[in-house]
Amino acid sequence: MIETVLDALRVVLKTEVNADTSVHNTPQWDSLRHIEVIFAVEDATGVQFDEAELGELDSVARIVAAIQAKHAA
Amino acid sequence: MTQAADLGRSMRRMDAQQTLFAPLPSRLELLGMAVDAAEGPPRRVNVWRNHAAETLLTLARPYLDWAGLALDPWLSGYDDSLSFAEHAPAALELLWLDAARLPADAGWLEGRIAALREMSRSPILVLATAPVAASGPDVHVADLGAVCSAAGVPLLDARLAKVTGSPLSAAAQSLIARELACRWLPALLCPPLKAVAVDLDHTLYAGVLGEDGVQGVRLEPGHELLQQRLKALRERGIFLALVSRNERADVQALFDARTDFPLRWDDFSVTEVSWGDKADALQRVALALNIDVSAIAFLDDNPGELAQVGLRLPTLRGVLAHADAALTTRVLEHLPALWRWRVSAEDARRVVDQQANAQRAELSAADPEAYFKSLGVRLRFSLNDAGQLARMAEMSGKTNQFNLALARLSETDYAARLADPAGAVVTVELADRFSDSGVVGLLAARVGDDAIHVDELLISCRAMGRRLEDSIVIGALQCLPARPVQFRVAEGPRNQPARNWLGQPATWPPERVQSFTPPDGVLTERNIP
Repeated sequence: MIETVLDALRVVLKTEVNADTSVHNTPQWDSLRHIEVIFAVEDATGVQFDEAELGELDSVARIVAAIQAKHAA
Repeated sequence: MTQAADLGRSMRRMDAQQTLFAPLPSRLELLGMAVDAAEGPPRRVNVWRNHAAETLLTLARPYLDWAGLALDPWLSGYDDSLSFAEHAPAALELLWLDAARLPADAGWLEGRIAALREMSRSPILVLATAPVAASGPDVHVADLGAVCSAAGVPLLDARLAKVTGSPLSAAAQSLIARELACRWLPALLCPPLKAVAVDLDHTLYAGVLGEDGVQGVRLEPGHELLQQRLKALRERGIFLALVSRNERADVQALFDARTDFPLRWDDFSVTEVSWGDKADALQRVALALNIDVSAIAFLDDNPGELAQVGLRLPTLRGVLAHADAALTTRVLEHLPALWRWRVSAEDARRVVDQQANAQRAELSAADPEAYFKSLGVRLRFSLNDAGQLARMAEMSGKTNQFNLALARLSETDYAARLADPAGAVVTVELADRFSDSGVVGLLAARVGDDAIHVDELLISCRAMGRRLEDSIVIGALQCLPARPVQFRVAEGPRNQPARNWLGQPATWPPERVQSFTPPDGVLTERNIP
């Protein structure tokens, strides 16, 4: 599943990404692209994040954790 | 560009159709696509907005490139007051509005649009998240909710407004981007498509007529839908042409026998059925319809053939017909400059009128004089008829051959002219015993103390070649005060017919207008307020 997330991020950010990628170490992941990241991940995984989560999904690790939490629920 | 590069570009455009015209386009696939950028200098579009437009414009990009529409969007700051600060001239003014943020006063937006109209004569396109009241010349309001409900997706997504700056759902953005780039913008910025030419085998049905026979070819639900849509285009004034490599007798037998086909043989204004070259056939279609090949779209299932046609006729719009005819139908429905904001009475009459022209030509060959008298031509001249504003602008945009000044006046220009005491616009309607052509002539002038200055003079190609040019133009001038007439003339690539008609000089004494009487058999009527 992390590969699906990484593929989606590559399309949106148009740069190489890995499990450690986050807003803080990737200049392409700016506030405008953030929503594209969310849309792309939702599109690729079929998951829909809650409003409260949207602003917090600022790293691959957090996105993957949020998806896992939804699958566990 | 080399031939190989042109072919590659053409093939990539065809490949892109599947992703671009999926029932619900995938955002991820759209973002990852590589469509060659539209050529030509980009035209500026002013985007006045109170919510985020960036993601919409990103999604619109592959569609704009596919449509061949090069745009340079300029985004205002987020401005709920719509102050139009830093306005600069643009080809189009786009209002991108979160309706929930606008004042409740219903007249407020009308007022802001009137203010924008003071600054700009370009078309104004309003896209709002809920129905809004907006009107005026060349003001167009798209229904975003209808686009989404037709596709079964929600327009709004309450989770998003705070994070994204826009309440639109992700699915809505993809669909709206497609409508914007393929329908709403091209209808305002591109010369209109006037004809759709279609191949037969594997396009209008599944199978090959020469192999499967009349009863063997299959009309699947997608093909039925495609044929219905094509028939509907004809009713909106788009010519249909058949361009097929087949035996003509077989094709006629097919349309005779297959009464389950929504399309009938007579629905095609031109039929080119032979074993010859398709590019040649399409050029003959253009000639028969008296239109430029750039106004034709050609639907064919053979990508190689389409690419070859594209090399010979680079301005013609080639469209790949897919095995999934429902997909082909969606492509057809989104062909840039085929969709219109309005369908006028003249649009609906066009196809019938063109067929009547063929009948006229046939009959007039026998005895031209007697035939002309027997036609029962009626010309109706109307001065400053505000009810015809949309048709005036449509004629200015579409008329290429009998267009003396090429002023290309917009609906806003005409509205201003009608409001100006010195402005005059005469529209001319034509009817005869074969058809009612509607408004086919237009003369726009300024009435000065010294002279009538004709700034725009147009005759639709449907009325040309019927020896009515003098009756139309001079009849229109007779609706204005008797003064010398000064014609504005511009030289364009295709307006030689108008320039030849005028000849020299471009100024006439008033007697030339006053002494004119129309030929026997032409009845005239005036509607002057």
